[in-house]
Amino acid sequence: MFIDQGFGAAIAFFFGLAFIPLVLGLSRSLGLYAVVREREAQVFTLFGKVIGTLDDAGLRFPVSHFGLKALLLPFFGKRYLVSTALKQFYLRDQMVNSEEGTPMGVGIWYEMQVSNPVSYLFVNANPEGSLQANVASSTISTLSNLEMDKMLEDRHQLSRKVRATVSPLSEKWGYKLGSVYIRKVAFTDRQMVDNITEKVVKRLVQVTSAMKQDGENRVGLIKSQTAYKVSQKMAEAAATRPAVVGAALNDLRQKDPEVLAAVLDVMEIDQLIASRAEVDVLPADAQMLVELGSSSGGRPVPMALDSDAFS
Amino acid sequence: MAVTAFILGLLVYMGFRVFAGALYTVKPNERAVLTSFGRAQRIGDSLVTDDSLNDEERQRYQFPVLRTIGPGGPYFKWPWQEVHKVDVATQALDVTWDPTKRQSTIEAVTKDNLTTGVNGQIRFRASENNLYAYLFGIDSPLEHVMGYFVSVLRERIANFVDPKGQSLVGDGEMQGEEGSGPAVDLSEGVSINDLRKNLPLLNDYMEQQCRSTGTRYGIELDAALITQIDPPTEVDRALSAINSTRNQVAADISTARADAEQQITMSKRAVEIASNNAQAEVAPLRELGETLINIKSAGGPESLRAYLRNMRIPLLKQARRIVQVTAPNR
Repeated sequence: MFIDQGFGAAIAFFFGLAFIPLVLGLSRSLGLYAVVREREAQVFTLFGKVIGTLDDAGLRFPVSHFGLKALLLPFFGKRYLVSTALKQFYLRDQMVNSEEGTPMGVGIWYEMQVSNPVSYLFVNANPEGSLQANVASSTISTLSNLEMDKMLEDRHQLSRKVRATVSPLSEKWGYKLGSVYIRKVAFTDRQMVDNITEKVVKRLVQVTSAMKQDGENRVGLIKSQTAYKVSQKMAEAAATRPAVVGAALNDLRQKDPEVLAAVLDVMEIDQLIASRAEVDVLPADAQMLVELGSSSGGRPVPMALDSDAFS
Repeated sequence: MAVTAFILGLLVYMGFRVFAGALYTVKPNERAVLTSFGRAQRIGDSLVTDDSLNDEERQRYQFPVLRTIGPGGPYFKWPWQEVHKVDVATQALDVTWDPTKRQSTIEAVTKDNLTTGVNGQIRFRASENNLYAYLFGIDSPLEHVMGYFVSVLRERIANFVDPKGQSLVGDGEMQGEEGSGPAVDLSEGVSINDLRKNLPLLNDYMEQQCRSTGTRYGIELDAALITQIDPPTEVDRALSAINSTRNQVAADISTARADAEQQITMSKRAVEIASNNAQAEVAPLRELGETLINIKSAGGPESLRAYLRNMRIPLLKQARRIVQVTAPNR
């Protein structure tokens, strides 16, 4: 009896332990409640018909949303989970031709988000594939036969154009197109890439030559300007002595011409005395010929002095 | 007895579910968000805002502001709650990172159509102000940001010109004080050179353009560091040649300027030297003049003549012969 009671208590205890998980599991399988996560939509169908969507995150009770028919869902219905988070896709290497006929590879990056889970599930069997195809065809039609420079430089404008073209179609399939960017525009022809590289190299070589020539010109200019300035200064240096001496002599002359003559005489006599030269003293008005330096053999020419100085 | 055991079982289960895993801590580099039955805890009905987005973008990137749990703990949570932890430390990632493709560099076409390689790094962190986008709103936030970043970067490279409109030869580099601009027109820049010269500017532009990524995708860009612009080898060689030539030309000009300075200084000194020599030559002349003026003013012209006659007397010592004419008329 006591053992029976103990055994019954143990069963009751284990039943108590499993009671809550069992009740929760049963309720979930019977569709009595649903836990809707963030950015998730739950689409319910009954007998092949969509009866509603739960897309507000949290604990939800289908019965309160769809009525008593929600109780039939576990037996005759189905629940679809759809993520409504923002996704992105990169469509690589779409081939387009520029107006000049250059084959270009274009990569287009776009964002997409499920805006209508029902349309997303049932309107199009492959909404992602269809969206890709639409973006690709819209990109090709928008970019084909555009000038190459425009294609390379006006990407944002062209991206918006692609988006405007694709958006209405995608919305029909429950998709909302987000930002669209032309992520890559590249040359697919290797020879063209090499030609452009060669063009840039030549341009750089031309710049190098021009730079060198410009440098030489500048150096030449500096040298010639220097030569001009230096020659001016040297001429100025050469002219300094006559200017200074002349000015001094003019000053003296203006003060007293006789003194100037006397100064010059004094200086000449000083030099003559300092030279230790032999002198022949002749009267200034003497009517005679004098043999100069005959006995002195290459000695300095004697100076004739005014006899007045010695008379 | 059985009812008591059943209730005890219930209590044990509830106790176990409540207390096992009920406590959690948040590390210093983490922030946490709680969800109850899958729903994140919001702060009222407020939405993340950003003035840099236009109206259409605001509609597209609408995310609620979540209650964020900061570092610390232990915190308590109920069994029906789930903790979502986010590392908010700044992380670095190569710009070549692409989960769908292995690559060592990303290709970009410059304004002059040159296909070049670009490499670098972005530093990013999860946006604390927009954890909803990071955790729930965006399917793959990092991939999203990289897609956006690379698109903007390539577009910018395709349009990039030197904003200062500088030529390959900087005017300042080769212009003297009296220079009048380069003799050749080199104003038509080479994009690859413009890009290399202005990498900081490109990085600034990328940071500015990606300022809205926090609001858009829940990832804030801390820095964009484009470190390498790798043109084809031939172009690189030609650019190196330009650099060598620029240096050579600058050196030649510096040498010419130094020579010029030296010669001009030398010629200026020559003028000073000639002037000093002339002054030295003139000084005794002026002094003697003054003396003779004083002699004349004191004693008249006769004194001056007497002085001169006196000066000539030493010449008679040097005389080899003296011819004296005896003339009565003299």
